[in-house]
Amino acid sequence: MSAPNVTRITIDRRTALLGLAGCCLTGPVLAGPEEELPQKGDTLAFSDGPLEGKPVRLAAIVEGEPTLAVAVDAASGIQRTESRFAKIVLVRLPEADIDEDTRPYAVDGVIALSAICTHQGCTVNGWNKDTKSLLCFCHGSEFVPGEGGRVSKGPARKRIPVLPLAKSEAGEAIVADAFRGKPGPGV
Amino acid sequence: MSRRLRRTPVTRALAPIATVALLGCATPSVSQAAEGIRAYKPVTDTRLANPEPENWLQYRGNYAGWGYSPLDKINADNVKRLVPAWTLSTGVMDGHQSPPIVNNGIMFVSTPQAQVLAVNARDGQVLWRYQKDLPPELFQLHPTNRGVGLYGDKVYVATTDACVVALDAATGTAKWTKCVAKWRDGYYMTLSPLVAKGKVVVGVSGGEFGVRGFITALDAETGEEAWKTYTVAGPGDPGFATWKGDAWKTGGAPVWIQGSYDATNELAYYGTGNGGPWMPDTRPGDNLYSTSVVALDINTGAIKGHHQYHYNDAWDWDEVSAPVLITIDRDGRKIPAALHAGRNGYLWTLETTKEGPIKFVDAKPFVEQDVFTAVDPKTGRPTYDAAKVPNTGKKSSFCPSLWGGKDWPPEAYNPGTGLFYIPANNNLCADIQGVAVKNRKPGELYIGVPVEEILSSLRFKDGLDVSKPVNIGELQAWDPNTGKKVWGHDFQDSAMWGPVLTTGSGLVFAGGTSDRKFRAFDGKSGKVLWEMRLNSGVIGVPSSFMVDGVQYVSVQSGWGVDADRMLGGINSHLPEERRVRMAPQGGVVWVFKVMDQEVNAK
Repeated sequence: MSAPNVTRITIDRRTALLGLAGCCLTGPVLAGPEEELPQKGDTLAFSDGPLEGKPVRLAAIVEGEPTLAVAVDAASGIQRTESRFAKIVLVRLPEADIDEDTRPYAVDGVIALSAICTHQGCTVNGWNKDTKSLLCFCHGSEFVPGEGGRVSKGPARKRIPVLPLAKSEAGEAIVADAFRGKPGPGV
Repeated sequence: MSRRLRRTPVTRALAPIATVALLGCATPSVSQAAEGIRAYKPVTDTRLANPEPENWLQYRGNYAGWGYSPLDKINADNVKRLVPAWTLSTGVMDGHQSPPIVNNGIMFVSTPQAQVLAVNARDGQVLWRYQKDLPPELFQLHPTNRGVGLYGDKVYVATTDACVVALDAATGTAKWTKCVAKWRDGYYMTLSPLVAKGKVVVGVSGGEFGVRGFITALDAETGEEAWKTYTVAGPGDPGFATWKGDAWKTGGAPVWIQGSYDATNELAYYGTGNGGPWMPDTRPGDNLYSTSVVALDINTGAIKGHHQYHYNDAWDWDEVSAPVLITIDRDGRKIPAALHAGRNGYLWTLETTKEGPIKFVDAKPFVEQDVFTAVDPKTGRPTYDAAKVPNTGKKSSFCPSLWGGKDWPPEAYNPGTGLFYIPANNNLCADIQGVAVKNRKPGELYIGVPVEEILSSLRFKDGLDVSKPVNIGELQAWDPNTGKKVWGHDFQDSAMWGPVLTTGSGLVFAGGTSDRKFRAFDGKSGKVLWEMRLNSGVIGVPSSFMVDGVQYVSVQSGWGVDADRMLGGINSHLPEERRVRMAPQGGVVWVFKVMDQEVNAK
């Protein structure tokens, strides 16, 4: 017996089952295709524009023009295009606009970052020249490449991760290490 | 009439409340809730064509797209005592645009991220929750959903990964899932399904990604495709001559709002989006059936008639809102009419026919519009001021803005007041210039206008004095019989993105302003009778229903998508002290009733 002043929540067996059925359709969330992401030792190729498919020479990256690139497995020459989360955007900045924490991952003033917005997953390659920020078309989020991809304007909440870069003897970009965080939407 | 939006400093976001998360897997429901589900009343063609006053069975309440509830218990006298009966956090961010849809006391409400909640409409108890497992790599330009479709014992929802899911109305279990296009190729869906004659009819979004728009019907029982009709004419179609070269393959004309439906003649009327890419020189010709209304035979999908509101679009003016079907009286003649407040800033009155062909009646600007120099009185074909047509390499300035005189939020028609209500945005213009489009890549933007340029395109009309509050949003009332505006209610320093509900007592309900208020207006005068500031801005479609003799008005709050994009643009032109800096997000279902109505009902 419930006390008169208590609201008793009763659940019949059918209702409990309904609840379970409704819920468990969602299943586990996929962990994410990390193995398809850029790996240490990969080279980079342009993934857009007149130089599409050509190796990225760092000197070809121009200030104020974010450039999309793709990682290429050095051994097989295969582009890592299976996952959208492998997309890379390259940005050239004056050295003074690259902070201390980001500088170790930049080469010759060029920073590589994930090109996937952390809000709703759109490709980020717009540029706000006033704030020197990467700009996402979908919802207007902005990220500061010289400060480790931090969010300067929402709705995104999570920074876009930096991809550490190195340079080959020929002046071409090489991936020095994996993304410094998980690419893709998140909070 | 004019209204100044008051602003109070907002210091922090309203955190989305975790209620729904707690309800998670083993949904704790009291036994009373299960009774409601057991009594579920199947939805039939007859019921959809003649909905009971107490129910709100689809997107706009009826097939004709009225946004009208015959209920009249909430009226001009008692609406000032409107109070929340219950609320429910959806646990989701971004734009909540879907109407609470109610069938005999069970509410079905969809949210962004492909979630559907079934709720006891009287007390707010959650009966079940469905969440589709969306692909982790999915990108969402418009993370929203505009409602479920009901038919038989199922609930249908279209998702941003371009699938339709049929759920068991009693349990939320997925009965079938049918993906109609590849999301990786830029296709997605946000609209509510039109359900009729055993078919679930949906259309695709993706106009910014170089898709070729289409409408498709699925068998309501099995999900099998019944027909598929492209909205971009292809080889063999009579409209194909309006395209040159291969432009039709990426011609856009997406369909992202539920069509209206004439059940007697079995014709569905869908609005279509603009051609893609945006710049008109990339796709010379009229580009049928973009920026049009098409009349489809519900049985076969055949296009039986069309009217193109404007040809070879250059302004991103999707004419995607379905026309509202009403009978009007013009010069003593009864006309079966289709009304559409266009994104192009003109109010279009068309005449429908039993066989499908659509005739032009008239078109009048309802906001500042400087592109059309004339509209042919016989055909309705506009003439453009060439200086107002942007192109690849040519910058042009034009009014209204990219978001148009009215974007997607639906109009409403009230047979009692006889008025047609339009949620408009005035005094806004834009400047854009195209750049050469590059090769299309699946799932990447294919617009031909730089991203930075689009996001900074919005401006006020020339000569507008921004030192004083400026009229932007406007709720308008038009008399369809005379084709004249009866009243307008202006909102200052705020756009109006509020879908409209009107009721049997002559009230009009809408939110849509950046101050987060939801309002009731007198439908005859436009006077505000009640208003309340909610948790977030209201861009949801309101609905009304009745349970146990009590009338409720329901709406989702949850600011986001284009209303938020436009807010950014408006802020960049208003003096600092008049900007709404903080537009909190997070969805909540609100259900209102008159404070003492329950007592009276009993």
